Amino acid sequence: MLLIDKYAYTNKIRCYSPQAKILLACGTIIISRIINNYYFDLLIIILMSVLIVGIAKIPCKAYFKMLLIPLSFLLVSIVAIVISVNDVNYIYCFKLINSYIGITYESFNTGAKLFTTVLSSLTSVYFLILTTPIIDIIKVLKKLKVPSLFIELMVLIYRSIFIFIEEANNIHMAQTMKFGYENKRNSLKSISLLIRNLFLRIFIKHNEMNISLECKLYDGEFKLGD
Amino acid sequence: MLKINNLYYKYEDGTNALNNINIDTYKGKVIGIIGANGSGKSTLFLNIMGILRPSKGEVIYNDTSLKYDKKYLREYRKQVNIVFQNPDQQLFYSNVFDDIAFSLRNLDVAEDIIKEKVFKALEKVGGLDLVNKPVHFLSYGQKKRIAIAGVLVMDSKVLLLDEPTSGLDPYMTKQMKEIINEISKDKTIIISSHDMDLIYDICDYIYILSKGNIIGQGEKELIFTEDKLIEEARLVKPWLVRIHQKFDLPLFKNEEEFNLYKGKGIL
Repeated sequence: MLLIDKYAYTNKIRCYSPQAKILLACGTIIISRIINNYYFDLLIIILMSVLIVGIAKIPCKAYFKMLLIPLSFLLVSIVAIVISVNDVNYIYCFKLINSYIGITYESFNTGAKLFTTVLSSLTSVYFLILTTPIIDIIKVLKKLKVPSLFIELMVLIYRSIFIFIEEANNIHMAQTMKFGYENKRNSLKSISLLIRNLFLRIFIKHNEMNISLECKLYDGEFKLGD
Repeated sequence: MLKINNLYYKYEDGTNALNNINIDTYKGKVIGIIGANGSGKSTLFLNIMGILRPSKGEVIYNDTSLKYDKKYLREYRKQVNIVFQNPDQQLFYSNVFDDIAFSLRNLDVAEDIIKEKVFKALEKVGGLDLVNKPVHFLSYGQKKRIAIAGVLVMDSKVLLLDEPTSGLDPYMTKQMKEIINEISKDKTIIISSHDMDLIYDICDYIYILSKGNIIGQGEKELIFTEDKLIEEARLVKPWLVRIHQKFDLPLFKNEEEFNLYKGKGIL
């Protein structure tokens, strides 16, 4: 999360119009769904990766590492789709006890199509979040007249994430300094304490923020301006 | 402007947090409230802001006693506002501009006036270059400036500053001093701090708080020479007062005077 945010603010095309970036990302997702052809999807994957690594100058290694996270989920689900039991037209199969397990032409096709569609959408989304800071996205959402409740939530959640991560980091560091993660037993104990403390701190923070809000003349709505 | 008359505050568990507090801001332009940890400074500030309601006594602003209904408090907080110690407590937006504009938008100020005021406030705290940075990328000192700017935009008449220099490096502390000096030109300022040098440098009149009681008050040159009082409040004297007492130097009003001093008889 923090890494994505860092790149969003430091990439080479950060200053380009966020509208254009959102349009490109959403456009490619929609068009790839309409065309529904895996050569086209492959084209988008390559295009987006070139944009991200070549033009926005996101480090190649970091980009692939970030892709690995959703990719691992994707691969597991593709495996479940591709493998079929007791079917016909097998490309490859083997016999296990009484049934045939393997890959058919059809399942392979579905799997490949799904894989490229998902991956092309993923790279499009990554293009957007790696090159456009949330603040810019919010500005566009405001222009698009997205309900203010939704945007308010987005603004507050985004800010809170960083306060939350900072608090968690601070507690974790303090625990590490006191040898809280030396062995498995200690680690478990420490992590439970960390969660408990975070929970308590949320309430303290909530209280403090309420006081600040009152001093800042808050009257029930987080105004966003134009 | 702001006066506190015989104010008492009790916590829910019955312990006395503040006893018979009397403060008068007519006594100076910059008022200092000093005291050890747990002496009641923050509780006092929350009482002044109308967040906590005193168990006895009253807060008086412009000769009217503070009323605790929503409408009155809203008007009152346009005039009297506070910068808290922890900047993360008061920054709600990830965008510096939006955060500073927050209170003005709550008052339904027109967007072009907001823009003007936000940039003016940012200029006052020397933070114009921060306007496009996300809040979570800022250093502690920068966040503190933004927090101050977020209150400055309201153009309140009285400003409370809770530990404005805590956690700041010497350079930022010096800048903060300049900021406070600058804004004190058209505002009454009340500062609470542990930094005796800061208090001595920028305040005119000082109250000493100890265990919820005001145990002393006076002009800064007088109050800090009362050894017993300073010790009782668990504080130390500012270095300008110490060199005056030890080396028979004149009592400088602030660091600037000290820096200009070339030796005896040349001042």
